Amino acid sequence: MSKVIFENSVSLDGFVAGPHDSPDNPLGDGGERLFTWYESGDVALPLPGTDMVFMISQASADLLQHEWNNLGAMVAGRRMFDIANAWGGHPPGGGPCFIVTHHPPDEWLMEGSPFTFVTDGVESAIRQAKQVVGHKNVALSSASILQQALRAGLVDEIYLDLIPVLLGGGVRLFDHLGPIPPEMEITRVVPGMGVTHLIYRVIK
Amino acid sequence: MTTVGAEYSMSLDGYIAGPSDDVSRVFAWMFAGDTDLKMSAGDHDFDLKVSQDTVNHFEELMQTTGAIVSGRRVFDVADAWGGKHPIGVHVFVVTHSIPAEWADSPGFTFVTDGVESAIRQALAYANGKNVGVGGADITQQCLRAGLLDEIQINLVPVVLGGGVRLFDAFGPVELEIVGVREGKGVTHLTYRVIK
Repeated sequence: MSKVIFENSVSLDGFVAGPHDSPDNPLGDGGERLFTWYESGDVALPLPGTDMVFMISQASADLLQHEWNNLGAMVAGRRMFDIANAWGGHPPGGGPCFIVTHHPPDEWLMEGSPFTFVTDGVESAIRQAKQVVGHKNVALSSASILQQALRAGLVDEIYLDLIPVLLGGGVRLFDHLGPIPPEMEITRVVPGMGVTHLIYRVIK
Repeated sequence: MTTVGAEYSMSLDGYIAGPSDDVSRVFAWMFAGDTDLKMSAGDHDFDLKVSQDTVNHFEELMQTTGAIVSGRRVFDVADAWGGKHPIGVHVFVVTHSIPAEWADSPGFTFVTDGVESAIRQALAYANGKNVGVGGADITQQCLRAGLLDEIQINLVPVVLGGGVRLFDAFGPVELEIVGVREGKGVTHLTYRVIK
């Protein structure tokens, strides 16, 4: 059964990037601290579609491997696409990637582009992604996309990698969720090295 | 080794109370377990339903806590716990003005010269036991002053969208994960503050 999921590192005070984030400072001040757990353990796990190799605990590796094996497509926002420089044409996960934007960039409209540009919103992007993934999952890639998808009632699971740090400011994950925030239940807790993986199911 | 620690039930968006100081959702897990736990504040009893793990945790907390430092706002919102804090120990209340109706109460000491003084007095009073800290503002002041050793967060899977934030505009602070325990409708996370 195909699911729409979101996975990201978040600080204990709820930030996915530090203060003063910008295209030149995409993780914000101190935001790189959220990702030091990628080098905290002794189990090597290559991120599909990229040349990145995570060095993490066995527990974290088992969890991520399972998540990545089931990853069918990604939905990302235009801001992340630009900040990541289109991931050099190799988006993480290695599957098709749907970018929500008002203005598709000409240089990525060629035959064989890994990107599909969606100009009519997040709901449409998720619907299109679901059509190509079969029984695999659709992953959402940024706080803003998650918030829009939550408001539309389209998210099934949230994987938080909770990092033991207080950033004190920055980009909040659970923000702009409207007058009736989503209900969730905890489905799994996995302690890692310098990270606690918390998996929530969104109740619809 | 005595520690100064704080414990809160917190929503995923970082609130320890919702709008209008409503704590029903962050405390809902305390009524979702299968083991009875009776707590009391003053003459008022609370019949909680928690896990055996939480019962053990509260029993340990009551045995190891020697004093509490509280902010004035918590003291007022809790109505002075009816004169006796649920943990059953002496409370040092940080305030600018001493409330006349509680000035002579044996359960409280009102500290008007700041949080550092309150912690110092509480540690002396606790005589080798631990000191608990209550109130978002006091906790932030303790973090800033390097006075907090441990934080336990009882993380609940709700988003409140407004209310009282535990951690507000202060960082970076490095923590170390000391313990992770699963409860029903809650995840108990214990951190040591790295100074």
